[in-house]
Amino acid sequence: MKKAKRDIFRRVNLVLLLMLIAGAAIIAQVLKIQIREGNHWEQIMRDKTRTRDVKGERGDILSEEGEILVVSLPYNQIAMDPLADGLLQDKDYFWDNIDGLCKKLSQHFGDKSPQEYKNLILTSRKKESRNRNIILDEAATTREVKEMETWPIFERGQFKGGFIVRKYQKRIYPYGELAKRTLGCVREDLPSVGIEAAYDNWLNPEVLPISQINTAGNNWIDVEVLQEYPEDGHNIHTTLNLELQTIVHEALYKSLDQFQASHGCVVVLEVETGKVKAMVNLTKDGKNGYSEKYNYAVGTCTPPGSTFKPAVALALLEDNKASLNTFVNVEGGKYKFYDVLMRDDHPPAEDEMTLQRCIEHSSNVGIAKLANDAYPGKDGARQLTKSLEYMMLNRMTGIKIPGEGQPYFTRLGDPNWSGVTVPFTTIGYEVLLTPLQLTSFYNAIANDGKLMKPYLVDKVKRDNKVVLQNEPFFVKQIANLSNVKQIQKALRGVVIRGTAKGIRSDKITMAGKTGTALISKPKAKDKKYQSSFIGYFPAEKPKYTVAVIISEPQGQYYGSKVSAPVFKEIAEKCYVREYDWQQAVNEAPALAKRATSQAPPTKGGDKQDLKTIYQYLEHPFQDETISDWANVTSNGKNVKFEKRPIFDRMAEGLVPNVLGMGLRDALYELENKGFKVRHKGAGKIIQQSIPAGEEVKPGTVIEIELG
Amino acid sequence: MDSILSKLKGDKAIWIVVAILAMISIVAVYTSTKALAFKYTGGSTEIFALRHAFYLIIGFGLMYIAHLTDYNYYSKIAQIVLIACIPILILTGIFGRDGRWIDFPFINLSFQPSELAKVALIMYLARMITLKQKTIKSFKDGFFPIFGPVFLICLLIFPSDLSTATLIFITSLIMMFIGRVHFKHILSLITLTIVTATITISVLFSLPDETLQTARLLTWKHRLIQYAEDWTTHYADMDVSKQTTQARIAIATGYPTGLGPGKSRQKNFLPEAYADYIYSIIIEEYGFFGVFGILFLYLFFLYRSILIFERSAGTFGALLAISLAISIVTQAMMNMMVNVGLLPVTGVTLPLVSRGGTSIVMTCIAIGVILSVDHYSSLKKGRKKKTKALPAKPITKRTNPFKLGKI
Repeated sequence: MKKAKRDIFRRVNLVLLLMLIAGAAIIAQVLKIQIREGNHWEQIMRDKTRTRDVKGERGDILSEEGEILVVSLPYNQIAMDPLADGLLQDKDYFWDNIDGLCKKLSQHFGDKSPQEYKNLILTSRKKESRNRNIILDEAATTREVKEMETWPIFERGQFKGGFIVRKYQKRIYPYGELAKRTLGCVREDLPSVGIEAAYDNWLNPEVLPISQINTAGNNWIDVEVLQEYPEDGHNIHTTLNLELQTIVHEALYKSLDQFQASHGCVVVLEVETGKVKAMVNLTKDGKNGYSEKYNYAVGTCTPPGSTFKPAVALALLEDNKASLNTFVNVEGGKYKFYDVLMRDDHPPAEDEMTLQRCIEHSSNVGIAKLANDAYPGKDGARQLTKSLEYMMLNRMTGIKIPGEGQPYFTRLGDPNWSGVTVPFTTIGYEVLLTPLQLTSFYNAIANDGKLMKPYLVDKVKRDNKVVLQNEPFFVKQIANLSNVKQIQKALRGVVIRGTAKGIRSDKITMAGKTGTALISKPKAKDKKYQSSFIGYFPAEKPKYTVAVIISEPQGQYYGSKVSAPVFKEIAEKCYVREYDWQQAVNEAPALAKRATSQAPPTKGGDKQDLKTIYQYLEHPFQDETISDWANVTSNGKNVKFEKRPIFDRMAEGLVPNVLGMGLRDALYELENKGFKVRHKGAGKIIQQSIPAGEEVKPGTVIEIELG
Repeated sequence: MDSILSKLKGDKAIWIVVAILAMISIVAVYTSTKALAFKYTGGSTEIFALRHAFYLIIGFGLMYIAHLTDYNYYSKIAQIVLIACIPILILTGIFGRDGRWIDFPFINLSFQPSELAKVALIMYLARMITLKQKTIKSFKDGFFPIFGPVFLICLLIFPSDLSTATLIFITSLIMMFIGRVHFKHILSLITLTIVTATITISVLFSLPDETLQTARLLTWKHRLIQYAEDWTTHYADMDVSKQTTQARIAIATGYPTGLGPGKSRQKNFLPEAYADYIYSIIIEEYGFFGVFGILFLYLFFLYRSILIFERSAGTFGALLAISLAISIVTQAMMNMMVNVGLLPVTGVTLPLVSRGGTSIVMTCIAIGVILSVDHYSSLKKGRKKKTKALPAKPITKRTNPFKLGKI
């Protein structure tokens, strides 16, 4: 036995040797692959493998009420490869159909005649001018592509017909210029701006890489299959109110156009919350009028001019240096601080004015003298800065879009500090603030001293689930309530009997402050001004704070003449919009009936809703359908609810037919039935992923395509 | 720590080798299941790694139990299990998934009986070789009783899983060699196999592909063609869509020190990188450390097993330990040779490292048995020494609770 075991032991060692040889062979082979063939394999890896990104859709940006302000839409670049394999092999087919294709191209695009298209294609086929990529359309819709697929030659697809479709996503602003700069954009060559930039990470869709290899014949094929599609980006729900934004945009545009100003901006804040309800920035754009080019409201720091006076007045009140009734000698509107002359824009009526009147009539000398006496010397200067800083005037608002300007104060110890810094600070020079920062301060005044952080995004949602909810953020109480009330009183006075009495309205009460700041050098020949009006309405119970800043107006430049009327227009239009500010005017339906002798035009919709409206108007109607959805036909007098040919009453749990509906109606119909809806495109629904009448579980996702 | 170590019996070096392999395995599986994770769980790789770790923990538990059980028990257990395996293999071949797997649907586990049969067969062979030592050179009393069961098991496995059958066959040949079966018989067997294989291959290439498709034969034909092509075509003309090419890219990219943990690119291109091609991925991520490290661990494991063989008391124990060790290392070597392109593509996994529940559990049990041999033979030796030193005490008369009597 011992002998046998020794023999076995010898053999076992032989096996170990065998394994060592195998190991050596493995190492040799690895070294061969790595060193001798290494470059080759790395080359293969670079040339023959790659990853392809599969992206979801970038999220939408929506208004406060859910209107889509920015959306990604699929577009297609259409190109033709006249040298596609199929077209070279099947020459007869090509020559038989080329005329038909060119006719279609000419009909569709209308820019060239069929002959010109034919020439283009035939030259591209020639050896000396080979062009395998004739771009026919940069942005064709899916619908157009479907149509093109039926054209001669193109019907054969890419390899046989040379019909190349390259899909891409394009950001679309359905409301054109409205808030375009605030909504922003993502750019590759320049820094990205606006909400698009600030919420880029949220908006970005999930990207899943798929590995691809290049197989024989230069075809890239996926080596893996994605079981789950990458998720779309989040939707950003802004605080912007589309209606307000439109009102403001139009009002500012009109005024800029009237005064041929270089640019202007308006900020509308909701007093209680600090929500930015509208933000308009318009820049003169040559012949095209004005367009959203730069976000002045957030980005540019300018001297606020007279609109800064209330801040100084509040500091005086807070520091117990004066009251609204403190008198000051305004020296006839001219006063020299050291060697610098200060004038009032509007010659004062009296010799002595109270602080309140100084604000109402915007007396530079009055405010400056009061403050200069109240804050004497270096200690005084220091204290004034401290008081202004207490009101957070030296702080950025922290609004979450990139590029906010940094507020500036000339401080004691700065190289350009001088003896006249204090008096000139009080009238809004030696200070630089952005319109938004100033609006935020006025908003705090309107809000009884409570400073709210302005914000643009209300919530972030994905699949109807709120992922991030921004709440109003109370920063601090900037001053005593009683003092704030005093400033409110003065601002109200500005509109009642002061510089802005021109905008008094019998519809709505307003309060605010005019401002006219010289933004060019004081001695320049061509003086440039910035007219502003910042205020709030209704004065008793402020709802919105609005700042109107217009730069370089021609002809007129006083804030009271240029900017205040814009403010008034906005306020009055808001008054019409906000029903709860008004007394009910049409409580009796008879009024409405008298007003419209004709039946109001209706397209159709939920029958129950239609009934309610017509019953309220006491207008007779005939109901001729049993369906929940009705088409309305009306010749002005007789109203008929007719069956919409494609909408039938559907049993519970069955997919309804939504073809031809608008998005709103379709969402209502489908989501009411418990389905989840994904939609694409705009217009009427042309396709639904699950056909009508199918029985599917509630919660199923139905995709609808609009076109 | 000391108390844990003191509870682990047998060769400590083997425990350490196994622990290192297990750790490498968890990391490698974690990084290489990315593609799989995307397909089935929407991206969470953790589930697969956790599942893998779970199998390793089960494996370690069974290994612990196995190494505390007297190895003489396995002689009996192996016979019973091997006989039980015959109907199980037949049923799996007919009803199982791919003819290889038994699925337990509710607990979401599957079991590969061929792995069990492999370990049972090796234990059985160790027993037979020990028993037949006196007549080992005879054909009827030596070769036949040893090769009979091997032939039967391989016959049952090969239709559905040629790789495992080949592995079992090769391991058995090595065992017959070290078990002193007549060299003439082994050589005739090899010759016979080569002849059969040649005939089979020529039949494979003469039959139309449609006929082959039904019985996985086409796969084998393609693998053979591919292997032949890999050797005959210049490496620059190799087709990128083939996994051998992708494995080579992985190995080449790993030069010299690898891309770093989790940085492998080729795991996306190598189908089932976590199974057969995990060695390539380890080379890609760890470079030379991966190449030498893994090789060293298996060879060192074999070396330690030889030491156990040398110091163990009886022939059965010694043979049992070395056979199991050789089967594990042979499998590892085959896998690595497939990875670097020295062998045609086979579905042999890297023991303890590749993902796969049954394989891990059975390998752990096998290592447990090796450790049991070490532990119990040292126990016996120790006892003998003690009896010599203290002859007055009647220890010898006490029955050894672990002793089964003559095997």
